[in-house]
Amino acid sequence: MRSKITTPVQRVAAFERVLEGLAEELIDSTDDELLEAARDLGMDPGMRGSAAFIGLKYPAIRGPSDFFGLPAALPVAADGGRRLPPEQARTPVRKKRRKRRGQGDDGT
Amino acid sequence: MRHFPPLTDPRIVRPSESALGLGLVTDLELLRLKTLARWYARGLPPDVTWEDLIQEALTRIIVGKRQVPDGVAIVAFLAGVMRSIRSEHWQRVEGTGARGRSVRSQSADRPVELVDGAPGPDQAVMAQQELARVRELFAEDPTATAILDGLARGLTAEELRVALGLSDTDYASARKRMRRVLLREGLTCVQR
Repeated sequence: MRSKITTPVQRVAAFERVLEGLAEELIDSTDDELLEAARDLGMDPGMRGSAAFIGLKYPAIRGPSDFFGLPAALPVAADGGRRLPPEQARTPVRKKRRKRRGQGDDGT
Repeated sequence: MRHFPPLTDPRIVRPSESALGLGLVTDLELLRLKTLARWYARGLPPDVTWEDLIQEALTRIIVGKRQVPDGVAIVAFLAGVMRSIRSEHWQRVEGTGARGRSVRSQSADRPVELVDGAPGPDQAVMAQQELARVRELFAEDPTATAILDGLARGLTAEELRVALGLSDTDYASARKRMRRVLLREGLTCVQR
């Protein structure tokens, strides 16, 4: 069923048709469907401060990397917030839980 | 397009807040508009965000530039406003490009406009990339993917249903699944 769309005009026209067709679906969606989708994302629009309204009622959450182009993925060192270079950045190792004296393997 | 400040300052009253305060929209209508704004922001350059689209559309209504006709649902009307803001953006971009491409005529030293209404290469590339991203949204649903392809070819709902050999019920449930994906995608906080 998929047809070959080659020219720029055809590409844009095809995309615009998809955009319009699916926008109609959003317009026609019911409140229940909207709330269900919000629940899927763990959002409760009825709750004060719900994340669903970020960018509408509340400012978008922006980090320093949005303004200064910082590599946000780099972990920040505890001392003074200095960023560690990638080779020094380690994933913290979880400490093994020590057994209490007199405790068996099954935790009893 | 009017670019709003980063909106990180909570003292700035956003048009969406004004619209809620004025009773133009309800909370749920605002959320549905958010899904539409995120949808219509697809294929636009990254400096034009969904927030720009929705806030500009609401501003046009609040200041009286656009008036909601009687009997027209506010969400459908605002969707139309966002759609026109979107096409205004491309017209502006293409207008600038066309001026850059204009040539001098041989007889008089006057520029000849080459505007033919055709989309430029930027718009075509973005459209292609975005269409691929939209297909990815429905990658796990072959019926939805087939519906997308049909929409891209300009088929109507009935033509699509017949072409895919679906019953009315199957077609309705495929659309329902698609709506759920679209709504989830529209409500997410992830910036594209």
